[in-house]
Amino acid sequence: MRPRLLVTDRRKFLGFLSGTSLMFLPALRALRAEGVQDLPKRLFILVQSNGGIVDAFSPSGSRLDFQLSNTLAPLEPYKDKCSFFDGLFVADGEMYGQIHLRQLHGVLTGQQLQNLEANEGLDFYPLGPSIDQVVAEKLEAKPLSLSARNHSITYNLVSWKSGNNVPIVPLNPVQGFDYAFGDVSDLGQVPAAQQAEYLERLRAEKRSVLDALYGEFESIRPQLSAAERSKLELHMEGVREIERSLDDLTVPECTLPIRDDLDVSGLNANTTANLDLIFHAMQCGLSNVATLLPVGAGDWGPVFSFLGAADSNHEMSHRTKPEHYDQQVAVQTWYMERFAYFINKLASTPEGNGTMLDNTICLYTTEMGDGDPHNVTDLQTVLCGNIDGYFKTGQYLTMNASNTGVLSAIADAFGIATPFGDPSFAVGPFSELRA
Amino acid sequence: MRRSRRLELLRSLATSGGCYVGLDDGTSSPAAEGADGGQASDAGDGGSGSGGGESGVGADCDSDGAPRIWRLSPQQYDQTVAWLFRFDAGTTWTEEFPQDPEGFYFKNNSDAMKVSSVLALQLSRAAEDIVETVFTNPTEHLAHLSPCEAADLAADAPPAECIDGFIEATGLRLFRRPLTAEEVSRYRAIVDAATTGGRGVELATEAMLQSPHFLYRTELLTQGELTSYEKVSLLALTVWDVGPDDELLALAEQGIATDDEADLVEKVLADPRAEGAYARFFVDWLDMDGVASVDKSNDPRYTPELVQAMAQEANDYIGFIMKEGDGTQASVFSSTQTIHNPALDAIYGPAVAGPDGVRQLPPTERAGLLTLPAWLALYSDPKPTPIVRGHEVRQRLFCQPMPPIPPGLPTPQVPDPVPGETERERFARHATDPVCAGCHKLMDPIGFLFSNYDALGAYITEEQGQPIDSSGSIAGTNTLDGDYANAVEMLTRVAESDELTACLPQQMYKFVYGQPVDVREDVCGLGVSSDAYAAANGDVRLLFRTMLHRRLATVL
Repeated sequence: MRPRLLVTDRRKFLGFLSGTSLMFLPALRALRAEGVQDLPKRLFILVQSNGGIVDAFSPSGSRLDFQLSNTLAPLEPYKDKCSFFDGLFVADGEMYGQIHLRQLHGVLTGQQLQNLEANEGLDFYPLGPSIDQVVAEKLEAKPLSLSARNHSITYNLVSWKSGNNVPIVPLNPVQGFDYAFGDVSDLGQVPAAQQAEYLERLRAEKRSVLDALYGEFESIRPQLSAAERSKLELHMEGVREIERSLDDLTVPECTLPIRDDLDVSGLNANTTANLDLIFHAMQCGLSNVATLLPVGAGDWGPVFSFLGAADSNHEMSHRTKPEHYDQQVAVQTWYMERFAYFINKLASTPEGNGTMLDNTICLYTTEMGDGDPHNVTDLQTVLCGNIDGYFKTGQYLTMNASNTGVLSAIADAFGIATPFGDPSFAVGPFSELRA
Repeated sequence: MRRSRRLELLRSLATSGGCYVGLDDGTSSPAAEGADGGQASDAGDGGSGSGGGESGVGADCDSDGAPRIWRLSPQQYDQTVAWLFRFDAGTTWTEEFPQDPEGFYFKNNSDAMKVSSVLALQLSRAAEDIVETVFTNPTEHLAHLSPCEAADLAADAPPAECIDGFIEATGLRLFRRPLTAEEVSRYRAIVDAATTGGRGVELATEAMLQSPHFLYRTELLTQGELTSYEKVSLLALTVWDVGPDDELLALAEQGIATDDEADLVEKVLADPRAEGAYARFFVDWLDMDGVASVDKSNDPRYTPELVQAMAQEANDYIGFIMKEGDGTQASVFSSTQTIHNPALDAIYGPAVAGPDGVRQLPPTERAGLLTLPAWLALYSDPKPTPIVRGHEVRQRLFCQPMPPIPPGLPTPQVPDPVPGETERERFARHATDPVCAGCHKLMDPIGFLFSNYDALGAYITEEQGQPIDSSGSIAGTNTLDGDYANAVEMLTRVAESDELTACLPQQMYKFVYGQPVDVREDVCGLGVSSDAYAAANGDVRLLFRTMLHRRLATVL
């Protein structure tokens, strides 16, 4: 129903927009003062929901001499850039009561959960933020939290912001595109010679609108109670973020996807679209932190029909039919292929003296171990890439420990205090991970 | 009497946590809490009984309300924009808005409807899109808002009085009140700063569409009372799901005294736009619109059109009872008349539609809203799920929240289904293992009553070649405990039960106020509505009317 507008139509007032697609653009960034450029640090997280099949996942062999399982085969080319884990559990898993959504709330936070006054809809909140949000705050980066589907968000929340119990609602690829690129993609379609003029005008116009909005917010704010005011302040923070992204707006020296070309024809395509846009956003320096939860937990419908599944992934994870075992293995292999697809993009893109993979730490994890009994133990976890050479890789680690050891190692690599998570049970960085 | 029973129920649900601990029937089930409620209701009645006692919960009823803000829902945003700029009904700008979390079952919970940075960005993009579309064809979309020729508004230099007139006319309808002089000059400043006057008007419109005065229902109050404009906004948004029209705004301009409020409520309810309100309430309460996005492509009968027809039927069903029927909760939860929809023949069988499109369903097979395919198919993932169906009846119809699965529970070991085994057999352990039984005895036996409905809500009598046993029972309630033969028998009883009569007003309170009920609100605001409701044999329309009236009078 929405009269959908091409991005190229959006700013008709300029009149000179070309309809051409992108995009290798001369960078305004080059006009910036030359300085010593530190290599970026990035975090990528892929969460597989509904658990997996532990036997099919685990490598075999010893810590440094091991063979990958068939499920892990897509990562074979990057075996020496990764650590593979057995035996991790959601921190203090007992309290999570073996429920999908609560384990999702715990797997990246390492936090206890708080029942908000029996709010039947929202269920339980973690008492602290997730690792992706904390890293984003540290890097002052705009975190992306994406999903391949739009469905009940209650079962779809894995990222949590600091401070005010705000869950990060994952975005579909189109929403993710708008959030990651927005005005940048519009700018990219303006002929190079006119970009400076375009940018000047865009900033002036937006700023006059934003200034009016600040005035409106201030006229309401003093009249509200603290609780009501906090809602308004969250909103104001969002508006300030628009303003900041306007300030930072430059044409990136990289290729951007085109909104109207996004293939959002289903789970498989959407996941690829998500991964592509995360990669481009990272490559373009527009975001350094991204979390992808392709499918929410406890999902409805046969979401993996393209893998031959006739039942919902949730039902498959409970293996209510004989064919579900093989199908669930296929699902897990698909996740691993998607993860490897992203790793491959990083590994094939030179950066500094190495590749983007050397400056990006990539975490793959399930929210539960075996999906049938909803185990909080035996998470299937892989950590690939690196940050400043912090991580030792090429190892198979059999642990019996909370996954906060991994979260803490990530935090530590970004210079964030550890242990990460609830100090009453969270553990510090696993020493095995330190190079 | 009613009130003490309601408070008793309210307290029983507040303390029903921990049912899993109970290994026997007596100590900690909601039933036990309910039976123990005499003491609780004494405490609860203290406020009203002591005649304005300072410590009682009734003491605060006359206190001034607190200012609040409540964001418009995406539907309210779309419908207000469509009305204001004369777009076709159904035009949407909110497709890419992130979903709001559900709060206390309702999607319009004012605390859950926040503006994240993602939504702020989408609001900005929507405003740009709307403005671009509107100003591309000003004659069509802006003529009624412009004191001059609409096309002149988009010209390089519109006349000054034309700009001010447009800002005032548009602002009045977006903010649901006249702009202050300060606001007019704020928007005027945007126009003046722009490269051309026409572009400036566009930018001012863009800003108004992102203003908190538009995006939030602001109840900022004057001396603790809703202003006349806040009154008409509240009624229009709650009942019509769209901002107030010019007629209501004109009434507000004249001022709405307390004595006028009853007439105003009647006026708003009598409007054709009010017809959808009841369906929104019931559908949101029972989450029945969720069925439209359920994917059951493993079932040969499934098509996207089928599940959309199910959602549509639920709306039509409620609309029919409220408009043509007696409007009672008893009808809603036990009627056998629905509105014929050919797409649902795949579920109901060949159509036998009567006059006015009414279809009589077999009274032995169907009884009310919970036997519509929309509800039955929703709680089947992908098979009928007795636990979930029972859980939902208990939580949503009886207002008895079940506690979450307890910490420290050994890993659930529901056995894999054996071919030929029924769901009932599969979950037999829930009744025998004391660790499970404490809670599951409150859910599973209610869910088993729905055994005659398959994953898409068709009525079936055989499973795995065996006749279906649809018997079940209710435990832990005040008046409904006992054995039932099937869902039809159970729902017919539930439809007129005290449990539902006490629960439904609480649910409607959440719908109307956008907040959960607490005890103070129950006594001050909900109590009056609820008593009137019970006295009127559960007339939902009367409850809605009373609650709206109450809502205008008391800001909680």
